[in-house]
Amino acid sequence: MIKNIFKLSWRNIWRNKRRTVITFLAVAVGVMTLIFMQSYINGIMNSATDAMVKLDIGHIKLVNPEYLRLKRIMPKEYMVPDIDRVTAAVNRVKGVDMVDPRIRFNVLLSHGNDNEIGIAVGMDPPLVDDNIQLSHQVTEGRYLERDGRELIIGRKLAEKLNVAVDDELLLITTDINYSSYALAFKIVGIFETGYSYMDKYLLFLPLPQAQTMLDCGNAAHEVLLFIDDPERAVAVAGEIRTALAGHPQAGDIEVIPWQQDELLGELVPMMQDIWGAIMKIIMLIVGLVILNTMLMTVMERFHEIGVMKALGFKNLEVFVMIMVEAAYIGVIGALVGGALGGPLSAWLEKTGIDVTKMLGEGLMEKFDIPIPMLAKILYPDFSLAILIHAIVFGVIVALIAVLYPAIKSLRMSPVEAFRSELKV
Amino acid sequence: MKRTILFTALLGLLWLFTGAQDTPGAEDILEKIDENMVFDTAYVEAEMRITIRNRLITKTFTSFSQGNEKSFLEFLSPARDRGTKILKIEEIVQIYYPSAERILRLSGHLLRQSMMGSDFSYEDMTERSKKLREEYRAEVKGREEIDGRPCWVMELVSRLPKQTYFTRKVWVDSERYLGLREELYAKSGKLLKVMTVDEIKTTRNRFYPVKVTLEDKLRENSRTEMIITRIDFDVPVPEGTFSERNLMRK
Repeated sequence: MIKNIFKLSWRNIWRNKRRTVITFLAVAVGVMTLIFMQSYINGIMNSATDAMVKLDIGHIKLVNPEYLRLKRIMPKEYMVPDIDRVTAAVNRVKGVDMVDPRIRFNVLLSHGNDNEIGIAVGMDPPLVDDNIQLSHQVTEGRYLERDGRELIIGRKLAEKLNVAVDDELLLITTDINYSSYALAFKIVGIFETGYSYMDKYLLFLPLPQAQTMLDCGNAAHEVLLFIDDPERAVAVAGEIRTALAGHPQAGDIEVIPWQQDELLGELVPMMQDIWGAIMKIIMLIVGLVILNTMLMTVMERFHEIGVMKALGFKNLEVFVMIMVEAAYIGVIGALVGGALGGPLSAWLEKTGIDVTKMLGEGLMEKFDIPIPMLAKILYPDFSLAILIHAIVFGVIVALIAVLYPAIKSLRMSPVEAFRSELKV
Repeated sequence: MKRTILFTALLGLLWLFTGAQDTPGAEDILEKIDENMVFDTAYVEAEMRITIRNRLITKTFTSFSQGNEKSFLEFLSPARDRGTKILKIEEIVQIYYPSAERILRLSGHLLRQSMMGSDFSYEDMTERSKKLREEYRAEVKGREEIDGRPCWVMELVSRLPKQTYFTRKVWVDSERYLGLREELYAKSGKLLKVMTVDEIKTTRNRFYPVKVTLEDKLRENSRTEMIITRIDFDVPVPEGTFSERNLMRK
């Protein structure tokens, strides 16, 4: 008998092709949406993490522990000493691709009678460009040369100071010995990242110039290391600690893999919470669409169910039949959805999605999160787990959807079922 | 009813007593403080000892001032600061940096920046050109002793909404009319700075603090001692001292 029910269910779902196809599509589109959205959201989170890692954190960071402790007030004097020696030691460790020393200090900027406070970042221009394509963000003038008394400045900061390319800007700061020191720089370029913190406060200058301003010799506040396999950062950090043990001021150097970065440690769970909530809402909507369609499909067949009961079908048989029908539609729909959504997301993972085109340039400005700079093209992150998760979700929702009418049909007498016929 | 009358009478009596206490008006005290600070011209040689997170940095400078309105400072040491000159005329500060051979003009909120890495801000330096009495409402809160000297404890509340130090608690030497200790608060009630006068000199009937310590509470473990090693009042000031040209002079 049970075997017959499977056969009957299969025939049933094809009796009304249009109805079945619609139900099918609801499940398939729902599952496809889930796969794509989850991949897309993972892509956003990866891109934000990646942006922060490249911009500020590195795969492994070398920093003076005191600097870390007082980071909020940017204490200039706590540095990683003797970069050349550190670089030499670090380069002996296998897997290290790039050594990127940075200096960061607050600075008073003066042009004519306009003064503003900014944050100067001293760095190696070609290195940083390799990493975050900073030169692509220079919208006026040119990018920095390796050394020279020149700087590039954020668009909004430039506007506040009323300066343009080729103007001279006076930088004043207290150096590591609390002397007040000033140098005049030439503005060679203006950058615009769309990330308002950078555009409002930052200026970049060559590392040696920053070292002159701070009178710190060949030291840096942070040395960002980039390695071939970021997942191995913790292990490589261990090797670097060993390699640096011979450094005369090894106590001034703390080695932090990105997984242990404080900022990232705060931001990543926050991001996961926010996007997790958004994903739950999407799941709810998809679930409701599937639920609604499935429910309608069964409810409009109560009349038919009444006939079956009158013909002598047992309650359990009717129940099983409804559930099997739902399972057919759910499984096939979800598989089709997976077959479409999976490859689509996988394909977009390769080609990327041009977010700026999708949202329009102006909109990026409003989201003050450090994503846009590196994520003008967003790469969704698709995985098999996402695919399986979405398919299982589709099938389960389809089954839950018919549970109510299936149970209801158990209690119905044939007469009642005749009467409840819905004319659709 | 009777009780209310009694209570009111008691309150009145209390008010009478407080009124009868031997306290000069708060406004009078402020005026006397302002008066004490008035001089014609002065030449100063001084040392700034900045202690921050267990480091000691000493800077020396000379200065000419005329009244409270104009002053000209020139730093002599350390080497990186040598030749840095500051010209202050009323509330505008101009700083000449020999390294850049440029002049920086500071005004407004940027005067709150640390002066030459010390706990003093440029504003703290220019502040004396303003009269306390004009900018603050004062109230005498009580009497306390500081280092054995009797003091009025005064509370000053700014008349202006945008004052950096919105309220001040000042311990004023009740005989010499000189603030011996001062706590400076932001409008939010946050303690910003604490100033103490550690040493006072008497020059021609005038009491003058020669060692002052200022602690910027927003900096970690930091204080700056300003020590006046030499002070000459009413000296002739060379012509053109308070000029931009003097700033640029090599």
